[in-house]
Amino acid sequence: MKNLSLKDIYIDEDAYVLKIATNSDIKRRLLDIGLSKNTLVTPLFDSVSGGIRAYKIRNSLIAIRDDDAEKIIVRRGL
Amino acid sequence: MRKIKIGLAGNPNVGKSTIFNSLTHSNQHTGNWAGKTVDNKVGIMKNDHDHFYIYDLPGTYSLLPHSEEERIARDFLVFEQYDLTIVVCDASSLLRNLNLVLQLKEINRDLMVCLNLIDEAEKKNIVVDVKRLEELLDVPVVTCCAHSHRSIMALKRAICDQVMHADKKQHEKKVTISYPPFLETAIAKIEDCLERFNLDIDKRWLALNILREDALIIDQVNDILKTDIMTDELQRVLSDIKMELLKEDVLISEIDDLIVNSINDMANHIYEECVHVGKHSLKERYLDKILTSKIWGIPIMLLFLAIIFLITIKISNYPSEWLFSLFSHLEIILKECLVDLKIPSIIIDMLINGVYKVTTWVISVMLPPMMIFFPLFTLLEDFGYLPRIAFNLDGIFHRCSSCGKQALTMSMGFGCNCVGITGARIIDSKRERLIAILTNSFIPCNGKFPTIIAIITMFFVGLNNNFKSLLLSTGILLLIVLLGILMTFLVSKILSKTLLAGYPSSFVLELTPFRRPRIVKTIITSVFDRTLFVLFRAITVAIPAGFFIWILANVNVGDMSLLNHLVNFFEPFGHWFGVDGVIIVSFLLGFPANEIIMPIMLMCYLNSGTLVDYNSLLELKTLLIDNGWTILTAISVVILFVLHYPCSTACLTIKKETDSWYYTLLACIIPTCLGLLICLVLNLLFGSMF
Repeated sequence: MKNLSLKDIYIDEDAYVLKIATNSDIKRRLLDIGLSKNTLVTPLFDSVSGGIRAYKIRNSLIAIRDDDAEKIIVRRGL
Repeated sequence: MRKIKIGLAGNPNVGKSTIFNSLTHSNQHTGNWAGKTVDNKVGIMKNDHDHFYIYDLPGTYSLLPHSEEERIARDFLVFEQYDLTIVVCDASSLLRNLNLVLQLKEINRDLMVCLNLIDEAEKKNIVVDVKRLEELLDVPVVTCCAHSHRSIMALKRAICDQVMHADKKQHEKKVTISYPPFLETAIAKIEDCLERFNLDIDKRWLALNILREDALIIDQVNDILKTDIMTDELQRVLSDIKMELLKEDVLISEIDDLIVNSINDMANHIYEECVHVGKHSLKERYLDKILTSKIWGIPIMLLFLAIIFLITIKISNYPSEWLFSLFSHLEIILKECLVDLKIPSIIIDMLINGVYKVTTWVISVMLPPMMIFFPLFTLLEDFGYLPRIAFNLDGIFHRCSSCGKQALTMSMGFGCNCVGITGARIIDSKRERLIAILTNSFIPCNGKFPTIIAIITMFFVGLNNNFKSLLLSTGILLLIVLLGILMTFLVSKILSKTLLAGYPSSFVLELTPFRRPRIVKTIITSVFDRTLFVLFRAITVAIPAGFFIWILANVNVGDMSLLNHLVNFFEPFGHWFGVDGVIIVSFLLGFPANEIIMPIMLMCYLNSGTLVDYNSLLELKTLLIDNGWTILTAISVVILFVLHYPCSTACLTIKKETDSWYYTLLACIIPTCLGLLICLVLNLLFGSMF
């Protein structure tokens, strides 16, 4: 089965973080803002100019580029 | 009287600067976006016995820094000597904030948690059990709502208490983060090797970072101790640990994850015990849906900009005129005084017509628009709109291989390019930060606006003082600004493909919650702030410039002044670009400050030895047309205004921020060449028509 990434989650759909599949700088940053394992993430809206999306993470609104969201492996929430 | 040193730490945008201002009665500019404070600021708080030196640190998510401003905060928190850290938390997003609190606990210094924005949390139905939080963290917790006087007083008392009792208290750790067993064993082994060093830094924390192979921290510790802590013994222990970790199937590069997961687990545990979240209101989301909507997002952005321009254009003329007349009265009095003092007339002429005229001109032209534009812009900033601009424009910056946060520094450039250039520290990637710095001067700053507006009014709109022409000038100004923004994109793209080639790096952008701006306070603070800024600039830049220009205009070589020689020299050069020698010379001499370019131009045209005041725009227009100005000249001058080298102060800021003359020079060459190129093309295409 192909891994489901945060980019594939629809707007307003809940997802839980499984892992961050990269070792680049962004990993640390994503962990810092609270995207650790089992954190609830909900995409809320897209940008006009595309390529970035706002997510609700631990009560804050945080925008992440799709290129980076692709590296966040999640499972759909129920 | 003791000197007590206190650090104010916390995540970005939790209100550190606001608390700092209230505690120290400072007027540090605050804003509603992550990354407002990029440098340590220090202020003094006093009580009857002691002086408290409070350091406002840049916001940071963790002690493992990514960007320049986070590194500044980390260096302070870990390596500096101080008495207490206050970690400011946003009560409504405590879970994320706990991350930093726990990391600060790990370095084992005196700590106090300030739960800020408690009122905002209450509105969102978030209740924090402070007693329980205190127990679980084993750290004093004070709730606070930075805008209320009472809670600031309570915070002050708590700080004093804490510092008073710190002497007696032992550093005993009741709460530590527990890592997976194999990590704990490794940490203990490394700690043993560190035993013989006399360190102020917590050994467990240092051991953890040695395990993480954090070269920056190790280097810094070595620097402090003036010896190498990575002894042979430690190296041996480390390679043993690596072998054992391999057996457990753990790579060194994965240690960070394990650490962060342990911290997050603990944060989660504390959060669940202490915080109760009720039903959440959705008001904010509706506002965001509109401000970032696919249809309305961009139009609303332009509308905000247009409204700010409109108000600035409309109102700033009046105070400008008052200041001009005030200064001309003062001039007469000053002159009389100097004559009474029997000062030689040549010196009086130099002081009055050189130094005084240029300085007061800068103040009268620059201060009013700044005093109107800045507060308006600050209101928008406090409301939390800037991150939305960055969000809306990110796609374009992405295609230019640069960072969406560049939109933030670009916006700051409207006020002053120096602020925008310093602000670029919020951009993590060095390459993208340089792009933001090099392109910042494409955004016309406050010093350029008055002249651009005057030219628009004279040549494109007409001098009728009615609402229609006001709207038209606003529209044209908006177009000019859009030209600057377009150039920002274009040059960012070109730089990303050539000199600063690279791929867009990753970043996260926090869309901070909307807050109602405190209108009166904002206006008072920013008016005060801007006045000081302009006065400072007048003293440091305008006075020497005035002196220099006076000499050029009054020292004759042959039958002409130096200034006229210069003008004649540049005349043929100017013709290539559809302008004349005077305009070129004015831009060159206007290097210290953009706002003196126009007055120098007039001085040259009128062949007078001092700056000339234009009494009405009509007079000015006649003068310019008499000297051969056409619509094309006006367009070219406006283009050159937007696209030429940054002013001297901005150049110095670039030098300071990039630490390189090469980039400073590049920041001058790129806009100048672009501006000249556009003027050249325009002149070749349309020059014959006028």
